[in-house]
Amino acid sequence: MTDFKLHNFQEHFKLAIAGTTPPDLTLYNEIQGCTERYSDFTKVGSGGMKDVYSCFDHQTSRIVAMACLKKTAGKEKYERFIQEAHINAALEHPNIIPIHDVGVNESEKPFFTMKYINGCSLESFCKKEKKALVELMQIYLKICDAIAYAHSKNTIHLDLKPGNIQIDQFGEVLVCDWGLAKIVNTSAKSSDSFCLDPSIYNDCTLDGLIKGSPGYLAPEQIKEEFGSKDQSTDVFALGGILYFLLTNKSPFGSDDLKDSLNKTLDEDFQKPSELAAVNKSLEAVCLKALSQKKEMRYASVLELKQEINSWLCGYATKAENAGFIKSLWLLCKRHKAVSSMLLLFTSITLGFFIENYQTEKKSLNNLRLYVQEKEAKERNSKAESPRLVGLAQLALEESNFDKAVNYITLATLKDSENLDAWKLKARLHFYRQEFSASLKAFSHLEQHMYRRTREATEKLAIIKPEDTQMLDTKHLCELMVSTKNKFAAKKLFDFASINTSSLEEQLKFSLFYLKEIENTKVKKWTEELSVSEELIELDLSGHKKLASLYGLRYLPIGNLNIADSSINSTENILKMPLREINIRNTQILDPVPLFKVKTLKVVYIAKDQYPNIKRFQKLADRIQLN
Amino acid sequence: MTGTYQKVEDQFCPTRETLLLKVKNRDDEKSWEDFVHYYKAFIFTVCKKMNVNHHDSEEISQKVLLKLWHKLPDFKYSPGGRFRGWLCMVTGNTVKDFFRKESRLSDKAQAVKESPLTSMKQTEQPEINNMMLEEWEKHITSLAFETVEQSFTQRVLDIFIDSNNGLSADELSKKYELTVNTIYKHCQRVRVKLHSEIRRLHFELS
Repeated sequence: MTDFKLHNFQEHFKLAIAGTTPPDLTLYNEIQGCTERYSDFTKVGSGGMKDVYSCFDHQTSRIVAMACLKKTAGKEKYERFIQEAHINAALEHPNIIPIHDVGVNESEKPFFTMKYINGCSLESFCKKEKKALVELMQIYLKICDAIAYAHSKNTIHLDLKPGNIQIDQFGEVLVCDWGLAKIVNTSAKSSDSFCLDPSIYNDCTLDGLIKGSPGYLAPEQIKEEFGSKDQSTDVFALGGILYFLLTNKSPFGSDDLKDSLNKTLDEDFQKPSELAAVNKSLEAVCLKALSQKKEMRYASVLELKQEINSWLCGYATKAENAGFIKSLWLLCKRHKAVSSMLLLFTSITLGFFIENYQTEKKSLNNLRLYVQEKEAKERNSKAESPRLVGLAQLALEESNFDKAVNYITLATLKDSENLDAWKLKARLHFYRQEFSASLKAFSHLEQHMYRRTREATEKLAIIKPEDTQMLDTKHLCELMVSTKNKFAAKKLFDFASINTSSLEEQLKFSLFYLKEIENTKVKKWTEELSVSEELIELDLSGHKKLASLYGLRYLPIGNLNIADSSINSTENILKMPLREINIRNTQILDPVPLFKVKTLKVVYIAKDQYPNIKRFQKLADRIQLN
Repeated sequence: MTGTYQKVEDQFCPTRETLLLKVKNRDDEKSWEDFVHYYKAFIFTVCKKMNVNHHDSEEISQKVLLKLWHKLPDFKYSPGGRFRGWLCMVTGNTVKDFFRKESRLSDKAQAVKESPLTSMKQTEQPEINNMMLEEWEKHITSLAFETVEQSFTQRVLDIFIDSNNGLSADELSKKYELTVNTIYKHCQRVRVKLHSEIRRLHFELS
């Protein structure tokens, strides 16, 4: 959060609740105070008498394209320019560029704005890369749509060419530049009651000059003897565009203007198929539209459009005069579903014979997939393995052997190549006296690892091959000594203690552990031991070097005498069912935990051994101090 | 009965069908998180203002939130700050309980003299209410600003904060190299958004 001084902000709460905040009028004020509607001009193109800029419209807050007359243009051009805008504006169609605004700018010249297209002309669109014919024909259909609509409004374009078709990156197709457009007042009924008055809107184009783009001009646009300009003039130009789409060239293109015009008049152009591998049907359509005589062309754009549609849907076009075979072929193409059904029927009959082979192949394939999947699963779970080893390690330290085995088994399953897991598993089974299992785990390790333990395990597996049986006390004691590893001995001892039910056996290896493993410094043992009512009375007093009592932790000792020993903690004593304990002159610094032993009645301490102990005795006054 | 409440709420504040109603559903974890987000800081500050130390304030806030969680499903909701009143009451009582327990634990004679409870008793209840109201205003304002922040660039926010700290439009215009008009526009936009957010939060959370 931004640092801000809250006290400066508190007034905002009161103002907000009082509702005195003036409404946000940013946008309103902006439009109200707008003095300069358009800004940020960039020239994006120019034509015969106009330049086109992109600019920002502040009122609608968007980029628009603005057409302005060229600086050199005199006032006589103004009317025609505005007429273009009006003719274009009257045409509202998804494939005709929309006009937004017409006006006069600061330098008192007319301008109009229209939709800004972030794309390119059909010409550069086709030259960029080779497009699929179907895609091109779909674009072509849209151009036909636009012109058919314009003709329904009695408007003819008269300057159709790839350069005047704009395509944006999302496939929008727009017919632009209606600068030469004319209103033709035919007697034919208009589909719309609204029409611009031709007497006003055609004046300026009747000046006898050739207008349009050479290469796409119709003969009647060059010489009057070919007839007047009308809808079929646009059909001719559309034929030119189709020619361009098929061959990427203009039909009457030439570097020399005069040459180009002569070619048009002489009907001198190469057939598309002479230039490229061209679809015959479309070539026929193209040639028909490019007929020199108007009456030979399509009578309307709708007719032309219908031809393209036929081709797209897989029918024969009228222009090509298709024969029976061609029509049959197209029929098959059109009814792909039926044709493929026929094909399928044949294959089923065939397939019956090779079914056996295929079934076998399929099941083999399935097996392969299954194995792959299984491997993938294993790979995914491998990462789990080290964590499980860690958990097993912890469980082992707590002498929770069953838990440890579960974890480590899981770890080896998740990643059978985890050596740490196998090492721990081998050790774990060894402590559990499961020597066969231990050997199995060892087999996953290299020979030199744990060589000594492995050899010992091999011998033990011979003495006791059954993992479910326990070693006898004699062998256990030998094993604890021979490991020479305190941790291993301790774990062997723990496991044996947890799993024995005989007090006698327990007593034997407990004392063995106490004397031979734990307190090897004690040279001479003079303990006194008696058992009554399942409770042990043990006198270990006088052993100066006696330092640890881990060996006794599993024994039911009721009476313990460790006077004059070096025992320094109550750690292993607290779990015993003690009745009496003698800790005179031991190193135990804090005897207080003893008071928590519920069965304890008498604690023997030396005089002044614990000056403050009386105070603690309050907590457990059933205990008698002697 | 619930239907009537619904109607009144819709009339007063159309967005009311929000947090406080949703959080009644104890299984709606997201709403509870939002609830804690919106109220915890306020409860904490109120505790501190009532002379509870930082650590205990944390604990008491948790306790208050827990109490609210238990009782919210039965809480009958109506507009006009009823929830806020209840929230303040629960917080106040929890703090008082805390001091009572404190004084019981420590040596009696001493504690009675020094306990904040005694000093609190001397503080009039209206004063506590005023303090809570003031904290509420601060809390809502800061929550609102947190939201508003996300809608503007840091530069616009800086301009707004500077203007709140008393810099004049001329000074700001120089500092940020913008026209006075633009400075004014930026401040106004943040202000309008902030105020509407304050209103929304205040009515929704009260």
